[in-house]
Amino acid sequence: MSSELCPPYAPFFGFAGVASAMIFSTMGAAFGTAKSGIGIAGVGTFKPELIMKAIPVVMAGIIAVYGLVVSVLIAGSLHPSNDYPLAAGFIHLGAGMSCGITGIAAGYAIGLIGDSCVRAYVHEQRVFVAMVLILIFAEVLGLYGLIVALLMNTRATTIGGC
Amino acid sequence: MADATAQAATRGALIKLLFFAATLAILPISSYFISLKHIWAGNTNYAAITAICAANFVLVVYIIMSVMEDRQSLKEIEEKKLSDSKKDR
Repeated sequence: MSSELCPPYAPFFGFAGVASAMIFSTMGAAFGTAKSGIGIAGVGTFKPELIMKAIPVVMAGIIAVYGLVVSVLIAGSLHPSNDYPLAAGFIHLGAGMSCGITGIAAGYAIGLIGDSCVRAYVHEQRVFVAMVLILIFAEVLGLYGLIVALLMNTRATTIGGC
Repeated sequence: MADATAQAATRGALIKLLFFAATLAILPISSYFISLKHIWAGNTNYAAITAICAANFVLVVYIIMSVMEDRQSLKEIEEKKLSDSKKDR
């Protein structure tokens, strides 16, 4: 039942969007968690009571949650047994990649910030507020990617059939 | 004696961290599906926004709890200093 507008290879792009949202955001979250975890492990040898200051780790985890939500969102509107326009496939691919690759950027920033700020927190307590503020700015990079992914996904649902 | 309290402290911190990890894993995705079905009646965008708000809510609770723990440990150090100075007299 394929035609020009709904070729049989169109679901490839849609599912590539789902996969790329999850894969790339997890790469960013993994780097953020690992780099800040190294810093926290270094701090833990001096002051074990600072374990609850693992805020960069939680923020890196939220980057992965953004990728998960976009994956579930895009996958929810994919029904390969019906006709799937190629344009919708491209839109879903763009949405997944926008969320995923901004997740890499955000996770990279969170990792570097978390590492050095947690190490600085051992010497100076007032770095805490600055650390949280800077981490929030790094986090919203992933949030912007998610907002653009949501916007694109809304466009995909308004595309007509073949 | 100090070892036992140190062990209890690390166990409490471990339980807190495990609780937050489980909440961060379960709450956003479950809030997505539950709000999609019952609250927003199929509108996926609003359900995604609900999931994001839930994830950020967990983060805010974590930050607040770590700040409160900071204040409590500062108070404990002050009390210990007071009791030590009283003992010296």
